[in-house]
Amino acid sequence: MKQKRWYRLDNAAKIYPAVRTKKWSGNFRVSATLTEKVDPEILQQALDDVRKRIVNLNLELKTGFFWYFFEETDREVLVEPDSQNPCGRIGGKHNRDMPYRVRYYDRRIVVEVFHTLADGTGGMIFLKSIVARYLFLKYSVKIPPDDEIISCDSEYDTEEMEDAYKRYAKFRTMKSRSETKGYHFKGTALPDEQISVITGIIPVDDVLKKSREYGVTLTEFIVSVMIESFMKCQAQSKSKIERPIKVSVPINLRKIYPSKTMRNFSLYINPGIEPRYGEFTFREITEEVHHFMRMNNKEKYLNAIMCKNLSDEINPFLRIVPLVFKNIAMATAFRMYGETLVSSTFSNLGLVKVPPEMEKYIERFEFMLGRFMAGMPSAAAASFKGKLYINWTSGIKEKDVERNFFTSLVKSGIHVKIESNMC
Amino acid sequence: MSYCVNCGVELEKTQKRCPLCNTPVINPNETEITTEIPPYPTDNVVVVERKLRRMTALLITIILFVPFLLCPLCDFLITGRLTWSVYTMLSIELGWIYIVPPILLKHNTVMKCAWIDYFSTIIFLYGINMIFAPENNWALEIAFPILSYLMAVVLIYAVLARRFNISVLVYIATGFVFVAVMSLLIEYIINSYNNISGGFVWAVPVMISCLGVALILIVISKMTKLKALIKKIMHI
Repeated sequence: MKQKRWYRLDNAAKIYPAVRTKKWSGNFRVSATLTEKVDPEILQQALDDVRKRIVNLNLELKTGFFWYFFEETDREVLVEPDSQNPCGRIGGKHNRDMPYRVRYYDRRIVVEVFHTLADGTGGMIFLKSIVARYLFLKYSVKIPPDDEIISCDSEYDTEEMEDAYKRYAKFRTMKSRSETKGYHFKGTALPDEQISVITGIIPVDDVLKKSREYGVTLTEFIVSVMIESFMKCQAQSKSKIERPIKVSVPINLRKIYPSKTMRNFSLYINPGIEPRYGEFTFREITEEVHHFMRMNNKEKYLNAIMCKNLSDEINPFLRIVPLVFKNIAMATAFRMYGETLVSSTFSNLGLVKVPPEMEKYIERFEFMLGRFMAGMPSAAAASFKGKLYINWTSGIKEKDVERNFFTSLVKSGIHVKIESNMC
Repeated sequence: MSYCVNCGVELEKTQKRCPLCNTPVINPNETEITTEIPPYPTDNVVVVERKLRRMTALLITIILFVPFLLCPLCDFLITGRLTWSVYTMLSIELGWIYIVPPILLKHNTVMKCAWIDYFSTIIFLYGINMIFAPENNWALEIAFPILSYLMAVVLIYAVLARRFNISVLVYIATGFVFVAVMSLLIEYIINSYNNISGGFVWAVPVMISCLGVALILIVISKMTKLKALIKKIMHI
C-alpha cells in the first residue's frame, strides 16, 4: 500500500481546528464574478485539473495524538451550489473533512477555505488558478501563468507547501502578546449557522483621493472609518466602561520575506484608539492609525511577534501534551488573546491583478471573512477594475456599525452601492 | 436605481429593504417586478450535524450497560439477593444522565442539563434513602434544600452571564458570597435535622472568611492601579 504523504500544520493553522465551533467555522472566502453564467461541469473539470498540480488542494485534515496534521488524499472534491450563508462549516456527503470547497452561483465562482489550509493570499492563488483553468476549458483562452496563477503544466515547487514562519523566524527576541481588552459591539445574535453579509461597492479613485487628503493609505483610511463607526456605537451604548477600539489588520509577510508558500504566512497588528483619553476627531484617528501602522509594520517587530507565536509550538513541555488537552489550552488562549483584544478585523487583499487575457472575462473579485466567535462585525476588501468591494460580515442582527461606516463614506462624498444576502 | 432615503447609499436592484437600516425601498419609477438575479441564492445550505455525537452517546451507553447488568448478577450469585448492586445500578443510571444528555442536546445545553441533573439527583438520593434507610428522611430534609440552593446559584450565574457584563473577579467574588450563604444554610439544615438548638457555630467563621475574600476581590476589581500592581508582582 502506498504510504500517504503528510504535513505538519503551520504555526497559525494550529489554532483553528482547536477552536472551531458551530458559530465559528474559521473559513474565509474569495470569489470571482465572471461575465457569463458559470457552467458547473466545466468548473468541476477545472477543479480536478488544478488539483493534479496544486498539492494544497489534495489535503485532508486529520487528528493525531499530539497535533492535527494534513494528509494527502485522492478523494473527489465536488463543486457545489452556493448558499445564502457564506463561509459556513464545510461538510456534506463528499466534502467532509476537506479544508476547502468550491461553489458556484449564477456568474460567480467561489472558493471557501478553512484558515488552517491557507491565508487570503493563498486562497486567492487557488481561486485564480481555478478560474484560469475554467476560462481555458470554456473559451480555450491560454492564460499566461504568474506568481498567483499556477498553470496545470508547471512543475511543483516544494516552497509552495513550506512552513514559512519556521523558515524566517530569527529568535533574537519575542514580543509580548499582552494587550488590553477591546470594545465589542453587542446585539441580538443571529442563529448559529447564519451570517449577514453587506457588500459595499465603492469607486477606488474616490477612496484614494479621500485617503490622500488625510495623508494615509487606503487601508489606513478604511480602518480609521471603521474605528470611528465603532466609537459612535460605544458612545451610544449603555455600558459605562469605555474600552479601546482596535481593528486587527493582517499583514501579508510575503511582501517582507520572499516565500512562495500558499499556506498561512501573515500576522496581525491591531491599530486603534483609547477613548478614555478623550474624544477623537476623525483626523486624529487617521493619525493614530497611520503612525501605529508605520511603527509596527516593520520586519523586526513582525519577526518578534512571529517568534513569540512559534515559541509555544516548539516548547518541548507543551509538545508532549496530548491534543485533547492542547485543544482546551488553545481554545482558552484564543479567548484570551484572540478576538477579545480587538473590536473587529479588516483584511485587505489590495488590488487583484490578472493578465489582460483573463481580465475581460471577469467582472469582480471579492474577499470575505467568516463569522467571528463573538459575532462581531468584521470587514474584508479587494479591489478590481476601479471598484473597491468591502464585505462586512456579522453574526449580529443590528447593523449599527455597518450603517455608521457606510454613511460616513457617503457623507464624505463617496458613492456607495450596497448588496446583501439578507433580502 | 434606488437609494435609501435614510442612509444615502445606492441599493442593489433586488433589495426590497435597505440592509443597513431596514427602510423599505419604494421607487415610484420602478413599479415593475425586477427580473435581476439576487446577489446571493435564497437556499440556505447548512451542514447536517455529524452522527459522531449519537455514536459517542451510544458507545457510552453500551459501556455503562455492561456493569449495569453484571453487578446485580454477581450480587445475586454471591449473596442470593440484590443488596449493594442496587446502589451501583442507580449510580450508573445517574452517571448516564450526567454524561449522555450534554452530548446529545444541541441548544441551550447548560440550562437544560442543569435542570435534568437537578431532578435526577433528587430522585436518585430519594431512591437511595427509601431503599436503604426509609426510617430517616434525610433526602428530603437535607439533600433537597442543598441541591435546590445549588440550582438557584446556577440560575443566578446564568442570568448574570447573559444580562450583565461582569469581570472575572466579580464572578469569583459572587462565588464566595454563595459559599458563605451555603455554609449557613448547611449548618441550619443539619441542626434542624438533628434537632440541635442554638445558633450557628462553624458556619460563622466560614461565612466571615468568604465574605472577606469576596469584598477584597470586589475592591481589587474596582482599583485598576492595584490590579496592575498585583499583575506585575504575581505574573508567571
